[in-house]
Parts: sequence; structure tokens; C-alpha cells
Amino acid sequence: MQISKKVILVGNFGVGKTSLVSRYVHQKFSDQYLTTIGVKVDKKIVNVDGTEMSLILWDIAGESSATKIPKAYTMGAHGIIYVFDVNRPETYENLSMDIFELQKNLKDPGLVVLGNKSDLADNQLIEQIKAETQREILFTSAKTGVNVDQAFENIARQLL
Amino acid sequence: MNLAEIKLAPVKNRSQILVFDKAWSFIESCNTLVKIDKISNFSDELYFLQGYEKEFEKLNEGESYKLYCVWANFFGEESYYDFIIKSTAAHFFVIIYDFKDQYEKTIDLQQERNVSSIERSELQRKFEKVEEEKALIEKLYNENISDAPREFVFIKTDLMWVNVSLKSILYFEAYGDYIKVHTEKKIYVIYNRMKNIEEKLSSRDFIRIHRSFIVRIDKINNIETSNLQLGDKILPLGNMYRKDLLEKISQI
Repeated sequence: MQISKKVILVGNFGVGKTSLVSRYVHQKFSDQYLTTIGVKVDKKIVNVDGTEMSLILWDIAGESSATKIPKAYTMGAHGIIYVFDVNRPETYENLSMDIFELQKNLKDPGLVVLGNKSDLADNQLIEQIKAETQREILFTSAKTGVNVDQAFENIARQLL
Repeated sequence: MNLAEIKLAPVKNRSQILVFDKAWSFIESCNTLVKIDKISNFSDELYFLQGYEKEFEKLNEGESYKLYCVWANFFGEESYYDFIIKSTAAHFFVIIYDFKDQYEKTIDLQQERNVSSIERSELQRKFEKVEEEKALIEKLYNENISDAPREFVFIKTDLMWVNVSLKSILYFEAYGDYIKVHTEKKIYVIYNRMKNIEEKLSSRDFIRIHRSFIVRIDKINNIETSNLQLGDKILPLGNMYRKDLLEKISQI
């Protein structure tokens, strides 16, 4: 029997949430930045350790703070993918507060934190971000595809 | 029959109503009255409403739940939709609006706002970097200034401290427990020791040539084996100081 899980993608605008979904669901990438308003919903069937799961991906328009995200969008989510841009410190400086704000209205949601656009960062910057955030972060690139599948498989596994 | 089999046209700026009863059984759309099996979790076309069932069930009669601006592939067409779920005594009404045209204008404005905000952040970061570099340069400059040898020295006479330019000093001469400071215009007598004076002076500008003399290097006219000329004065050159002096002037 196929199970269905709602996963929200959140984070500042321009960090690459839509590109990550596009890369994962449609295997496409474009350098052009097109803003999302409201929420873009996509679906992907994944197989996690023999279990078929329908991931309903809610790519929520970027906001500078999680407090600005309408509750109607995050309602009933089973998992959170928090995305930031490794090259823009303002997109991860409130990481902990944002995640706390999102988690408090959900029931034990799964969580994956992604440092996107890693193709534009050097190892020194990556290490610096790890030290500053003190969190488990998966560094992705929607452009090259690095760690993108792994990110979504990671969240799906948490939701089994 | 399931929802996918029902012929539903894209809604295009008008509302289309799907009616469910409280047990989530689909009853009708605006043009089609078809009863289908219970929809347990809004799968298929309405998959994006999944997770909201409990929210809808909380609605009292006459209340509604609104979900704005959902960009999805609905009825086979990708567009922006608004969903409004209304509750009556017996049914839920799902009202769907297609707002693609209206939202495209919003997208343009939002795009402009986001791009300018990203650019502003980038400029801010560059500005902060320049400010950091500027602060570093100022710090290094100030450190350098404070480390640089002073151009003057205060000499204590009987009555006052006198500011004497180091460039005006020709030489220091031991004078018992005192030292004579010979400048271009005047001779000052201070209470001090030659060793102490030697330590405080810049080795770049001054050099000891005798146990009783320290001279300013750029004032030396010529050097002989056992003396040197400085202005119109002939001063003794000690054997143990000659080597240092010759090394110093050869570097210059």
C-alpha cells in the first residue's frame, strides 16, 4: 500500500528551493531565477527500502523569516526541508529560530537542513558554516545535482 | 469511478464547486452530479489537499478554510489556484479559483522585490568587507605610526622641558654624570647616562663612536682612522666602535 507524506520546503527567497524540486522531480535545472509566490506543489513517488511513498512536496515561497509563512501552508506537514544559500549568510543566520518556529506547530516532523549552491563555495566556507551552525547539514547543488536525491531520500526515510 | 474519470474543465477565472459530504464522499461538481466512493485522503488530482482533512472537519457550519495561491498541475493544467472549503450542515464545498493571470502580475512585482533584495544584500556584504579592510588598514597604519621613531625629544633643562628636533642634534657628549646635547644652535646639559641615551635613540640615525660620544650619522662629514669630522668639530673614534660604524655606513 502506498503511503503519502507532505514535505514542506522552506527558507529565504532565492536559495534554490524550486530548483531543488525541479532537479529532483523533473531532472531539470535553469540558472534563471524565477520567484515563487504562494506555494508550488509537486508529487514524486519514491521507494524507500521496499515501501512505496508518495512525497507531496510543498515548495513554499521564500520569506526572510519562518514567522511570515502562512500557517495554512505548513499545516499537516510530516517533514521539513530547510534550505539556505551557502553564499548568503543572511539565509542561515536565523536557522535555529526558523526551525523552532516551524517545528512547534507540527507533530514530530522529520527534518533535513540543506546548504544549497555548494558548487559556488570552497571547502573553507563549508567548514566555517558547519562550525557556525553546529548542525547536521547536507550540502547540495541543484545545478550539478550533488546530494539532491540523497536529501529527499533522507527525509523520506525519516517519514517511514 | 474516481475523480480522474470525471470530466472537469480548467476553471479559468471562475469557481467550480466539488461537493463532499461529511464522510468525504464526493457528491458532485458544478456540472456533473456523480456520486463516487469515499475519498479517504484526497489522493490523485486533489493530492495537495492531503493533510487538511482534520482542519476541514473542525469547521463549524458556515465556516470556511482558505488555501491561497497554490501553483499546481490541476485538471492537467499548471496554474495558480485558490481553494476555499466551506462547511454546511451536511456537506463540504470545495470552491476552486484559477487565478493564473492575476498572479502573474504579482509574480512580476515579487520577482523585482526579491532580486533587488538579493542585490542589496550582496552590496551590503561587499560594503562590510570594504569597511573591514579599511579598519584593518587603519589599525596597521596606527600601529606603524606608534612604532615609528619619534621626530623629536623633550630635554629637561633646569627650568623646563624643551622640545628638540632629533634632526637638529649633532652629537651627545659625556660630561661627568651629565651629558651635553650638541644641537645646530645650542648645547643642552642633561642629567643622564650615555648607555641610557644610546638605548633610547634610533640605531638607524645615531651611533656610538666613543665611550664619550654618540653622533648623528647623517651629520658626519668624513671618517679617519681614529677620528671623524662632524661640522667643524673633530671627534675621537674609539677602536672598539670603528667596526660598527663602518658596517653601518656601508649599509647606507
